[in-house]
Amino acid sequence: MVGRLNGGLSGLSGLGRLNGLNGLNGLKIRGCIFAIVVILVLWAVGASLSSSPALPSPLIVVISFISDLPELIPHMLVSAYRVIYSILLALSFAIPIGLISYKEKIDSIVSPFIYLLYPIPHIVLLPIIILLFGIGDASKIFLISMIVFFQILVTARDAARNVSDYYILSLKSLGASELDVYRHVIFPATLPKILTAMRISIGTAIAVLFFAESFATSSGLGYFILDSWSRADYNSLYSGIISMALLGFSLYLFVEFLEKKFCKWV
Amino acid sequence: MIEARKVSMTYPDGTEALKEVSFSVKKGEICSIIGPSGCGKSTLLFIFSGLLKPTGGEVFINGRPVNSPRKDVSLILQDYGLFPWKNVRDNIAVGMKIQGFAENEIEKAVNSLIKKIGLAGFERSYPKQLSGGMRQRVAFARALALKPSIMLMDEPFSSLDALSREKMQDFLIQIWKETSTTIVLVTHNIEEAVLLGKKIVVLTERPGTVKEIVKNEGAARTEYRYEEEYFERCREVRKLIGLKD
Ligand SMILES: Nc1ncnc2c1ncn2[C@@H]1O[C@H](COP(=O)(O)OP(=O)(O)O)[C@@H](O)[C@H]1O
Ligand SMILES: [Mg+2]
Repeated sequence: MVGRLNGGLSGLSGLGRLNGLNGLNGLKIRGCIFAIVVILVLWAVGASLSSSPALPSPLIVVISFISDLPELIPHMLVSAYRVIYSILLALSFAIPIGLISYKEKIDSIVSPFIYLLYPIPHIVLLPIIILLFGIGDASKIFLISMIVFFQILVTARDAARNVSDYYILSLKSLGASELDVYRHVIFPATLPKILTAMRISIGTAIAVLFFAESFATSSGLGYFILDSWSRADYNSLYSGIISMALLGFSLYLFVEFLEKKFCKWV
Repeated sequence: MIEARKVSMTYPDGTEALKEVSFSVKKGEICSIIGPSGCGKSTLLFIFSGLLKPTGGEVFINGRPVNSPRKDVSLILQDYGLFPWKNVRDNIAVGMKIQGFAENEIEKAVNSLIKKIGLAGFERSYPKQLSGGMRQRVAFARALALKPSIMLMDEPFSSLDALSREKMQDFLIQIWKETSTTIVLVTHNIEEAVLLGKKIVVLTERPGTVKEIVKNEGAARTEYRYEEEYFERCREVRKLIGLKD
């Protein structure tokens, strides 16, 4: 009986191979190498044409990056600490508040706050934040996490509100509690959107990090970059910029890893 | 035993979906509900499952009024109700997980169900990678995992092609024979209602009321499709539905 039911379905297994990850990854890696080569060539050509110390050739930058590394690493760690801490802090508030907004009643309380507070350019609050939290890490982390918080919250809330009642009913018919609904429906259904929002937030978080590290501190990559700049040490300036790019890139890769692991179904 | 007593449902927006629907389904019986689109069939199943409170009347299961989902009642929603973010294995397991079964017990039950529905090798596939018939079987497995005494099904085969549809009807008959679960099946397909329902509840257009209850003792056998009585019942039901009040 069962054998008969299964007949004619074997053709489907081939499908998995077609959009399997292997082919895709290979393509992606090749694409990345191509992009890196193009960027480096353009950079090298630009450097040799301008012959300005403000645009050293890629080779010089790589060499100075490696020689600056011992000095750079503590700054990298401080910056990574600040930005990762901020993002985690933002997520730990934004995700729960966003998810519970799937309920009409809660959303009617949350959404006016979003409506009023989200459009403000939060970065202009920096002076107030420094007045309240001092000039240490707390104010930097607060500023970054506040900005990231709103980006994630808006996405998580929209995604949660768009989860179809159909799935909630389907789960509830199995005897699900409210907590089960979050665990089995709302959270997994919104996760792809949340991760996409996180990718975008990483860029924002690093930009704000640079801004927050641009004064009243003597640690972090932002400080390192501005300090090199003021000393007209262009090679170090580039080492700092590359470090910041690497920081963003590795966070980005991490989010991509999470997507691969938890959002295979998309 | 399921008993609907003068069940009425008017949605908050004023849509009157059901009006004083009364009938009962005996323990172990397989009953089909047929009616035109929009006559309140899904609404009625939601009420039976305890997900929706009727605005009038009451539903009793084994003599007790239904106020919330019961552990011994499984509902298979229209379009299967599977979660796109869970693979086959996790979709089947989710009901048992929620009801707090032990992990090794779930593992065992799920493995045997996957074999039963002929989806071995597809444990890690996601619903969108499956054909309609395969999804349907996953939904069955999810419901069966809870060993329900009542299964409610909302147009379970309506999106399948004719061939898979017959196979699934046979599969359902087999399950019913093996488990003697009480089954209430909603459909808008006359042949299906007659093939499967030992009792056929015919509803009117919206607001749905019971137009007629047709006894159909020969049902729930695969051979029934070829018997004179089956064609006779189909004609009878077709006439009932075709008649306008
Ligand atoms: N949540 C709802 N709010 C308002 N009207 C609804 C709702 N759900 C269903 N209806 C309406 O109630 C009627 C019966 O719906 P339904 O039970 O889904 O019918 P069927 O399953 O027989 O096609 C339809 O007219 C439908 O539009
Ligand atoms: Mg329906």
